[in-house]
Amino acid sequence: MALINRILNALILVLALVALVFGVMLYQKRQNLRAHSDELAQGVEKIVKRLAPGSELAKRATYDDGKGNLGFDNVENLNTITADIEKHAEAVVAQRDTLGQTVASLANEFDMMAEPVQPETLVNLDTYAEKTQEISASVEAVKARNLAMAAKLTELGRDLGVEVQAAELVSTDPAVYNAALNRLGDKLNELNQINDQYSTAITTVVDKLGAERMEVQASQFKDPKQAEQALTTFANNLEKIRTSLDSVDVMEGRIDSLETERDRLADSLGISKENVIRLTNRVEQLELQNADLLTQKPDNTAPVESQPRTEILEGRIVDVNYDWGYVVINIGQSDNLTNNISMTVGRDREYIGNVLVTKVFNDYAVAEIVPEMQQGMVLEGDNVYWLGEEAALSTPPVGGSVTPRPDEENGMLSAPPTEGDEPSEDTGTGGSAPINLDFGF
Amino acid sequence: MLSSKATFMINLVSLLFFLAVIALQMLEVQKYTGSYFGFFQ
Repeated sequence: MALINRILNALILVLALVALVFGVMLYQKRQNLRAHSDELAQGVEKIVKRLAPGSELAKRATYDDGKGNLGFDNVENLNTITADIEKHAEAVVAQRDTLGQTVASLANEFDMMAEPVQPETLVNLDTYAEKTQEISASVEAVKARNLAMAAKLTELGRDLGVEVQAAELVSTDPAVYNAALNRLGDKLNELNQINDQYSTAITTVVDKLGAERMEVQASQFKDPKQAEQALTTFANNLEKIRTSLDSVDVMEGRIDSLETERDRLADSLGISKENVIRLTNRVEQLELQNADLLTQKPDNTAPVESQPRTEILEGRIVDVNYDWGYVVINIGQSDNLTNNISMTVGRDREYIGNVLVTKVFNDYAVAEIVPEMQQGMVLEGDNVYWLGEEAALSTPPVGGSVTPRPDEENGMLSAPPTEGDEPSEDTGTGGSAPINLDFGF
Repeated sequence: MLSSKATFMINLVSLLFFLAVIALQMLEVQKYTGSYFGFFQ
């Protein structure tokens, strides 16, 4: 029995030592767990403060050296506070998911990305950073594009004469940027209308002037690629037309002067015709008077030896009719001018030709132009001379010689002979000496 | 002095007590570590 007791005592001693060792180790293990719990509580406190800073939950979820709701002294509140933290964490997760979906939706809606953005890539911690960087880069590119467009629109507005500020165009206020865009749009519409009017006008001009002459087609002005070349060709051809119009103006001026000259000649012709009529009537009256006188005069028809006339007649051509080939001179019967006298026409010191007096009136006479003697155009104002019968028989006119016509009446010459003929001696006056002519031109 | 039988009974009770203490310690450490012998982990 004593032996058994001794064995039991030894066994009890061993068990006591084991229990002591296990107790110490168990204490250390609990200490470790306590420290772990404290660290977790402090970590939870930090997380809550990060997730919900300044919130009621952050004020409640405190460690406070083990005395707070997360401390080891308030185990009874731990479940409540952890439940609240879990709810808040779920709300934060839901917020994250919503933000991810919203950002992905915005990125896809604005078509900023090369490929559609999946919301999972934004809520996944492994991929969200890269994806957000891509979205940020795309947003920056869109922003740069926005600024560039605003700057370009501002420059365009300045060119068009519309005051548009870039700040207005990049404003997020729709009223502001819409007002600026409307100003630009109104100006563009106005210019477009003017452009249409110009195009219509040019098309009309081309149609009127002819596409072949202008070397352009009206449809080319409506094509921006061909409009510039067409306008250049159009301008060149317009310059040619303008030059032609200048020539037309000159020609019109010349036509006006010719028409004035024609009217003046027509008036002269009218006067001449009136004179011819008047002279013709006068001739008829004189012929009647002559007939009466012949019936009343005594028989004195014995031939009287005629004497050559020696007076000099000088007059001036007052009218010329080229169609009928006669002239009117301002001397007549009162100046002793008689019919069939060949008078010399001269201008200054130039011999023009001869005219044959056919009708003599009191103070003027009508004479035919002798074509074969004509060396120039007989004009109004030219001088006419008759130097007497002897001179006419013996002296050629200026620039030619004179040959008396055999059918002359009263020994007077009606027309000079052609140039180079010799004066005839059988005219009855051939013995007269030639006299020196001095027309006094 | 106690009799041998009484000493034996006391020793037996002491032995059972320490066995119970060790068993409780092993149950406690099993809760912390998941093992009855988690003292050595």
